[in-house]
Amino acid sequence: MTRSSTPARQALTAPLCLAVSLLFGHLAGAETYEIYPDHHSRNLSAQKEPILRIKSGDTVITKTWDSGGGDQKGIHHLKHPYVRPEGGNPLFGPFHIEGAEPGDALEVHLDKVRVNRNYGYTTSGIPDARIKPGDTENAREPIFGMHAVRPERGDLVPWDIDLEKLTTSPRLKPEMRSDWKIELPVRPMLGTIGVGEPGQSTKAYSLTSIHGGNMDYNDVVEGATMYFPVFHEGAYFYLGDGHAQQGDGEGFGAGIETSMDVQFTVRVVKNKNLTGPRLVNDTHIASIVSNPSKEADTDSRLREANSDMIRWLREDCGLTKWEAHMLMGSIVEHKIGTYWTTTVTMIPKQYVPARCHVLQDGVE
Amino acid sequence: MARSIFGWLACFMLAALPALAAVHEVYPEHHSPVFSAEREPIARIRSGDTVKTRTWDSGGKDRDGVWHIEHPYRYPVKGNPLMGPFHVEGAEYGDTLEVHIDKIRLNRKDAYTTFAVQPGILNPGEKIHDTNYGMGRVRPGRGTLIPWDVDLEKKTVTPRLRPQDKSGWNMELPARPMLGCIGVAPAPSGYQVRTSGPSGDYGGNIDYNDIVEGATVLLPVFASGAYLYVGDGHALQGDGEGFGAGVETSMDVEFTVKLHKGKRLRIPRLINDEYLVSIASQPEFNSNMDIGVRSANSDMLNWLQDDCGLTSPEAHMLLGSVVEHKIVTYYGSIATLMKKKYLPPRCHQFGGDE
Repeated sequence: MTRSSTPARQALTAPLCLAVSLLFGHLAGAETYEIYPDHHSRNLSAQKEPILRIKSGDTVITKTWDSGGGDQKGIHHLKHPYVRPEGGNPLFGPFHIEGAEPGDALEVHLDKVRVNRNYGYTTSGIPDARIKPGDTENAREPIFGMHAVRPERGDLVPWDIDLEKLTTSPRLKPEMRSDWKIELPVRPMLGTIGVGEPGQSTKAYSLTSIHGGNMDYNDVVEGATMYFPVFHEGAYFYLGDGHAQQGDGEGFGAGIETSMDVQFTVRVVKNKNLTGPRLVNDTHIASIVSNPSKEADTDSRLREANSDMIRWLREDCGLTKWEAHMLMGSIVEHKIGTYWTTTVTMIPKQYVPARCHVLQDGVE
Repeated sequence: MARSIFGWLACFMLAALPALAAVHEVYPEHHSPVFSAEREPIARIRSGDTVKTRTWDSGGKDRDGVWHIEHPYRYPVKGNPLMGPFHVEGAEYGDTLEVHIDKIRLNRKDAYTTFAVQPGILNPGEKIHDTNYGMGRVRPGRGTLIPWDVDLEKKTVTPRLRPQDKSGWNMELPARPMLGCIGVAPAPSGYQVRTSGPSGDYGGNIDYNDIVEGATVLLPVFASGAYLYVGDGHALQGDGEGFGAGVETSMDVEFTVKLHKGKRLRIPRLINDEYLVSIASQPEFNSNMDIGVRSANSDMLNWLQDDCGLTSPEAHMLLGSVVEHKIVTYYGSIATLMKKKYLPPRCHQFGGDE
């Protein structure tokens, strides 16, 4: 294991190491902050003390820990096994964004999401609930090996990450291997990203929902632009849970979990009244529905995502209802973010006017 | 409408290629509304043979604009007329029928869709626009269909919206011609007959927008002779088939069959240049996608182990890290896709070297 056994907190001595550098770019007054917190949050609460106050146009540089609290240097910031109520997915935040008000949208451009250490980990396979009922033949082996990744956990599989080739391979035991070498390109993404959840946060861990959160959608990668509805003055933005790679559906219940170098830039879009997160990348505009309800399923989430896309095509793209429907029937695409909570409706950008590739302020 | 110069059982041996593979040109003037082994074959073909045919649109209109079905439909006749059955010599229960789509090409300048994506795939209560596009615009007795223009040179399609429905944005979309219906006779199930409406493990009205030229569709065989049917061409179709249709039109189709003896599939599969695909083909509204994805995942795990020679842990690692999914039809079929480049070449073609 490359993990260091150094006691967790010693390496990060400063309580909040915060370097501020002014950047006089084309955007007057936009600043760039570097922040490497030594404490985390597990929920997306708007009632917590911000770790940083920024404004529209500002850029933040940080490093996220893996889902078990392991940082770039392999130092663990969480105790293992977890001590209740502590658990996984430590988040950085909240970032307070000046001028963001309920009804606005927060735009977050992911300038950089990069792997920064040479290992990650997953669970031992797809759970029984995501293969055919009764298919015991194909059920995953629940135990890979005790302590292989962290104390008292036997179900986690270590993965090697090649930081030069930008590939990743599961470190399977010889008896688990065939003659084929599994070497996959990394596609670093953030599993958890979102703003303060509506109302008071009463739970230690926030479910993914209309404010974003643990969406585990594998298009949340470098270069993507995210939009979130704002529910609290200041937005209270959080992020974390980097995955070096993750399949559609997040069958592992995880990605290839690892620490990340992250840089993002925020912008406030006024009076947008979004009903949920959206994403724009080089090729698509995407409506994301993350619904944690046990009654929700992929079918019901698709309905919500489709309705939001029609709204996007009409209100932002300026298409008629007829035109929106024609596109939805003919060139729509979908993505299963996670089997459990997240479903996406996408339209290729080339078929919609450029004016809706970037969300603009709404009318008050 | 008896206009085919070939007659209704025309079947020509045009080429005696090596291994006796034959090319059959079949342009039937009658159709089948069902996937059934009870019907008289329109051609008897063998493994390695190629078939050239033309499919009618879902309303029974051919390339030349001739209607082969009366409108409004007269009970029990409905849409999705199929060409077939093609009897495949030697095909038995437990075999796999491989159908390589050599060609699917647009062959006329008009097509149609429904007026809107179906309310059931939007939030409950979502307001849909006026449902009446104009009576008889596409066919007698229907006001809810929208005509689309097909540009055969540019290979694009455009809905013929009324001036008041337009914003000024050019809605010219690239065609991606596909076959909505492809399937064999299903396992007998009492008195129930599989019409060209639903889909299942035998294929059927799968409406999967990757069934395009160059794709290989793999179907489990249930009846002796397989009884293959094709039809329901779409010039373009979104994921999920929100219209409940594609951009419906007639097609020039050419396919080549290959029989894999003793190779039994549980559900249909597809192979194209980039992917191996397990298709959980199930009728709409009988199941849901979360259940569908489970059978597709299980089938992919089998494929990765049986044909690619991976271990179970390796198959699981790939399914968690690089799997992709496609919504084939809302409330119905769903696919699990795996990129070939992450898999050993030995399973890039079905059946390896037999």
